[in-house]
Amino acid sequence: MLCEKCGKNEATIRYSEIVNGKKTEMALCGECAAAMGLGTDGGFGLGDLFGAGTLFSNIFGAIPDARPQYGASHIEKRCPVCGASMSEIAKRGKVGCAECYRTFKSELAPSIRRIHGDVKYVGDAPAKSEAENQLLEKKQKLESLRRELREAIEKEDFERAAEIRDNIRKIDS
Amino acid sequence: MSWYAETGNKCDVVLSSRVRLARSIEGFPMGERLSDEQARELCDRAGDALRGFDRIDFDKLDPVTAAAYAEEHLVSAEFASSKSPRALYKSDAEGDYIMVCEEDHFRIQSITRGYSVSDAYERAKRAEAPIASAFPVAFDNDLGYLTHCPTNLGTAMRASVMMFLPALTRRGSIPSLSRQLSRLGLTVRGMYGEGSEAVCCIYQISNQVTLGISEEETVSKLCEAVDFIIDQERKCRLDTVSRDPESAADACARAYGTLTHARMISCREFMEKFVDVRLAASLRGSLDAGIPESVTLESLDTSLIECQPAVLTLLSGGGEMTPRDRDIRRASLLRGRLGGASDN
Repeated sequence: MLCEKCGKNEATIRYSEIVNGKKTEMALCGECAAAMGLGTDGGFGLGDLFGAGTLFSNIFGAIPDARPQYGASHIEKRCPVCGASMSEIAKRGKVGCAECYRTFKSELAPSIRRIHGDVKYVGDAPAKSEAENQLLEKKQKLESLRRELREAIEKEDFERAAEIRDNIRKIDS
Repeated sequence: MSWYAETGNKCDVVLSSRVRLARSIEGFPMGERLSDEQARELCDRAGDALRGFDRIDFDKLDPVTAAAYAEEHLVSAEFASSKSPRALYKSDAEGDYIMVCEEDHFRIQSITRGYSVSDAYERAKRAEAPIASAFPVAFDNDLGYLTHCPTNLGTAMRASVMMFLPALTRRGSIPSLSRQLSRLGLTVRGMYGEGSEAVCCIYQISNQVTLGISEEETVSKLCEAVDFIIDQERKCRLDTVSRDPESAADACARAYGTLTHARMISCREFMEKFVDVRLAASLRGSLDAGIPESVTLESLDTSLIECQPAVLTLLSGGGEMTPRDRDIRRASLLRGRLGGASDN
C-alpha cells in the first residue's frame, strides 16, 4: 500500500486522529510521518499513551495514534521491574510500576507534557527512610572521626589517635 | 467521634476539608500487575510502620460495611468495592485514613470538619511520615511522586473542600463557577467525588493540577477560591431571604415538617428536603423557619451520612433490607434525630 500523503513510498504507519469524536485514518510512509511530527520510536509515538478509547482522549481532544502496522518489525521494550510494554501502558493509560517512568521516559514525555504542561516538579521531597538516615548518620560520624584522627596525628597525640582509630573500626564494621 | 458530628470552622458553607496523598513504592508493580502476595506483603509491612492505627482488611469485609466506609467519605468507592487484597489503616481520633493497595500502593487521607485545609494537609503529612520512613517511596526530581496514573504525578496531592452551595446552585451560578475554577487549575465534583452527581447542593472543590505547583501553593490557591465562594454563597443566601422572607421560611419549614413527620422517606426525597433544612439552620439570625435550636449543622450532617443506604442498613443491624424497609427506617431515624420524637 502506498503512502496516502506522498503517493510514492510504501506505507508503514497507520495514523489515526480523533477530533471531537470524529476519527480519520491515513496510511503513511516513515518520511511523511516524521514530517508530520509523528515519532515511531520503539513503535510508539507521541500521544500513543492516551490513544483512542481511553479516558484521556476525551479530555485532551485530538489524540494522534501512530504505530507500524504494515510490515515494520520491532522488538518491544519491556520494563525490567513489572514487565509492562509501552503498548500495554498506552492501552490502560496507566504505568505498570514506578520504573516504567524511567524505562519509557522518552515515550511518556509527550503525554506527560500534554497533561501537565512543560513544567518540572516543585514541592516536598520524600523523607529519607530509617535505613537511609542511619547510613547517612554513620557516614557523617565516620567523616567527623577521620577529621579528629588527622588533627590528633598532626598534634602527635598518638594515644588519642589510637582511640579514634579503634572507634572508626568499630563503626565501620 | 466521626468527623461529621464535630463542630468546625465555617460549617454553614463548608462541611469538610480533605487532603489525600498518593504514594507508590519502588520495586512493587501497580494496579492489576500487583499480585495478591505482593498486595498482602504491602498491607502487612504497612502495619509494622503504622503503630496506633486500626487495620481493616477490606477483602474480608462484608460489602455493606465496606460501602458504609465509602458513604462516610473515609475510603474511595473503588477501594470499597474492589475484590483484591487491600487494607485500611485508620485513626478516627486523628481523622487519618490510609488505604493500602488502592490505585496507588498508599493513599493517605486526612479529613477534618469544616474549613481547615491547612490542618488537613499537616495531618496528612504527619500520617505519611511513617510510610516514607519504612518504604522506598517512588520519586523523581523532575516528575515528583511517581503514581499509577500520570495525571497525579507531581505532588500527587488532592486537596478538597466539601461545600454546601444551595443559593449559588439555585441562582444557576455553578456552571460559570466551574469554568472559572477550571482556569485556576481547580475542579468541581459531586458529593462523592469524580463522576458522582451533585446532590444536596453539595460539591467538592479540589485541585486538578499536581505538577509544577508545590503543596503549600496548592493549599493556598484552593483556599483563595474557597474564601471567594464562601463569601458569594453567604451574600446570595441573604439576598434570597431578604427578597422574600416568607417564601424562604415557608419552604424551609415545610421541608422540616416532612423530615420530622414522614413515616417513609426515600434517600432522594430526604436529600431534597435536607437542603432547605440545612439552609435554615445556617441562617438562624436572618430566617425564622421555626426549626428548633437542637437541630444543629452537626446533627443535620450526621443525618445526611446516616440516611445513606449502607450506613442506614448497618445502623439497623446489618441484616438484609428492601428499599421500603430502608425508607421506613430512614423516616424513623430522622424523627428521632431532628424532631425530638422517640425513635420507634
